[in-house]
Amino acid sequence: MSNHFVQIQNLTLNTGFVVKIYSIEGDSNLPTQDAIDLILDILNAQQYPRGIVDALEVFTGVAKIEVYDSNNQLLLSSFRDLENN
Amino acid sequence: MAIYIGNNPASGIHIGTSQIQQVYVGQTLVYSNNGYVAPSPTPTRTPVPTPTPSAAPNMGVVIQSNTANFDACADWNGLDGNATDVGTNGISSSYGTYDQSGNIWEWTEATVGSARVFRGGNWQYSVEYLSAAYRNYNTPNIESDMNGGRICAYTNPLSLSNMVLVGDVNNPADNTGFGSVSYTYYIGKYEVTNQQYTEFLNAVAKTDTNALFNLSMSNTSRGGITRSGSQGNYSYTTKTNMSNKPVNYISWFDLARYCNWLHNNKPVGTQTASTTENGAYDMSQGIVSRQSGAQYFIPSEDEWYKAAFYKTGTNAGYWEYATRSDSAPICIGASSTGSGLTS
Repeated sequence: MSNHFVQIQNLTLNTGFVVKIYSIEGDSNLPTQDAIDLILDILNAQQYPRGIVDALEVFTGVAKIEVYDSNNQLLLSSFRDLENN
Repeated sequence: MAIYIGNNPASGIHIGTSQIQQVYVGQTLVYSNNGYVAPSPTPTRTPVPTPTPSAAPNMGVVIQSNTANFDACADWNGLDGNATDVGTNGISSSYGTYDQSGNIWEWTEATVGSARVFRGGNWQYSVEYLSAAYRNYNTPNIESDMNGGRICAYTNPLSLSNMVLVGDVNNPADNTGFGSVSYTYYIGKYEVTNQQYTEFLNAVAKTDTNALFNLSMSNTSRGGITRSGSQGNYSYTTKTNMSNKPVNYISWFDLARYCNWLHNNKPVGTQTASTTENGAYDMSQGIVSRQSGAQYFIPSEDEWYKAAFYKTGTNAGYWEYATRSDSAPICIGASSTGSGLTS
């Protein structure tokens, strides 16, 4: 796997989850800070990583989402696979 | 996603002085100003030691190892990594499915915008992608040597062999949020093979209106099917040693049409509503979704996930890998004919 992901956000939620948001390197069409801020309350309401990725994946420019628990254990990674073409 | 902006200031999410009343992701309400839509409490995952594997009767081989086909270890046919015979690569899931860790990425019905999710890793990717934590998505018309799929059913009306029953209805979701299913269903013990897909092509693709056959199946070493004849009279054959390899170079739509063909009781004819274009899925729709009464279909992400990782039983929890293990599998090699081979 050699997708080139670039981290663009690192959010810590009320649940203790850490959400890392990535774009594809060179993608100029990134989600706006307003868009990310807009859904922070929604993310804070999600007890499951699944809800977090569902809420985030629809934003243009989001290519990978990683959700970690408060112990830095990866719970879920959802990514757009540009290598598989 | 639909965002509705109201005009009644209150607690909640605001844009300027306007309050957002509801936020939908796809068709799912994820936020409401009447209160968040909250899922049930998160279950905890308790590490459980890997059990002593039982013998799995596949292809005459007794598979007892926490192994899988990934990381380009299965070299055969002169290739650095390749798909291998289904069911020969490692121990089964708790429900008896094989290769839900590795071999090829498998399509699910789940959508991300217009993309579709696949799961399970493949013969080339590294081990982390085999785990329950990873989901992968791409446009549904992708046809590569890395992805294929397996099928699902509620009742298996054709009594297809190599379908396993998944019970434990209303099992709790994993801590990822995936895996809860409220009904009994069948799922393929193996990925759909070249042999099975060849039968499909010979039934409905003498004229291949919807490009069910991809030339890479024939022209590349990783493809498993050849085509002869001309439009209107095509016929298809599996390559030597490729019958029991998972079919690849199929799009999500190809797999959906395969399901429609099964739904319609394997008819022979051109690609019409009574063969490939309707049944489990109405292929004329923009975003194709499972229809009521579907007989054979692509697994939902929850159906796929449960079959792969759930331990069976009430509140039994989930394995991290579909080899009944929380430890990462070891990559498997291959025999000269492409069966999984423990070194």
